[in-house]
Amino acid sequence: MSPEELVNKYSDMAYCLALRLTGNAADAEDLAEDALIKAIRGLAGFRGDSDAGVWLYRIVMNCWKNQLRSPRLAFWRRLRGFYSAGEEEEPIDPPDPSPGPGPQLEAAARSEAFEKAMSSLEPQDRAILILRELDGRSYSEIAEVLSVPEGTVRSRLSRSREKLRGLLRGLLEEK
Amino acid sequence: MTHDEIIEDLSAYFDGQLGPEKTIEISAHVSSCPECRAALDELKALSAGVKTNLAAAAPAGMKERVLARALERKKPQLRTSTVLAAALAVIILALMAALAAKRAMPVMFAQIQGMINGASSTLGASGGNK
Repeated sequence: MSPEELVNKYSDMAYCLALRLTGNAADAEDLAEDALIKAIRGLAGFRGDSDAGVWLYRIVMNCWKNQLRSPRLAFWRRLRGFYSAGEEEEPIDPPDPSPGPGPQLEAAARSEAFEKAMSSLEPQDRAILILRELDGRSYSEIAEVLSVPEGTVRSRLSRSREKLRGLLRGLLEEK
Repeated sequence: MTHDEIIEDLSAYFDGQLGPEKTIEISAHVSSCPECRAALDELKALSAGVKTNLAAAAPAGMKERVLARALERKKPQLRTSTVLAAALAVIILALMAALAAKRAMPVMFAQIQGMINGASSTLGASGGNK
């Protein structure tokens, strides 16, 4: 696989994964870029034992874990944790259908509700859900990306969905 | 399998990640259990919602930037360890050259030694820098 093929095929998903791990667009862009650059430079050593996507997502995860160990980022995380400690998780109201906001507004509200619900999950649980739903990865592939047993993927995904169903019930019933 | 066990496995069933036996058993149960059917419908709606609302494309220009940065030729950088090793080598060479010169030219070294001794005794006699 050439660097161009790797970038064209997996950039969007690497960014999606990074976005769910970091929780913000700026950090996600840095993380996805670092991981893709590492992958391209290590492409010669990629033996093709696993899928290239799985291999790249593992690099994303490792880069993220390394960033977590950075003292500067740890400070900001503690600060964010301090401010969000008192927030309680409540079911998210579906967008009000009357007096009828435009379809775009309704879509934006729906999107915001999903973002809010996702932010209630742990970063690794968000990664599991995203790899499953957006990239269709099997449990064994997700387990390989996260370096956890397959049973852990299964139980954490089930728990995350249960939580999201609880938070988004109004929205899901609308459909 | 009991109803509660099936509820626990519903997420994996929805993903098609169970073995054939369990899949058949759960399919049979779901067709006759309104609660499980409703839960399955919610899982479908959730999955569709995640795909619609949480997919994101990489920011514009990211792909080009990544390729440019990854493929650019690495500029040679002097590491600290390299600089220290080079400095040490220079010092060792200088000492070896001095030792070799002392052996090869003892007269010149004796003259230099004499000049140093003379200068120090002159300074000593004048009382130094008072």
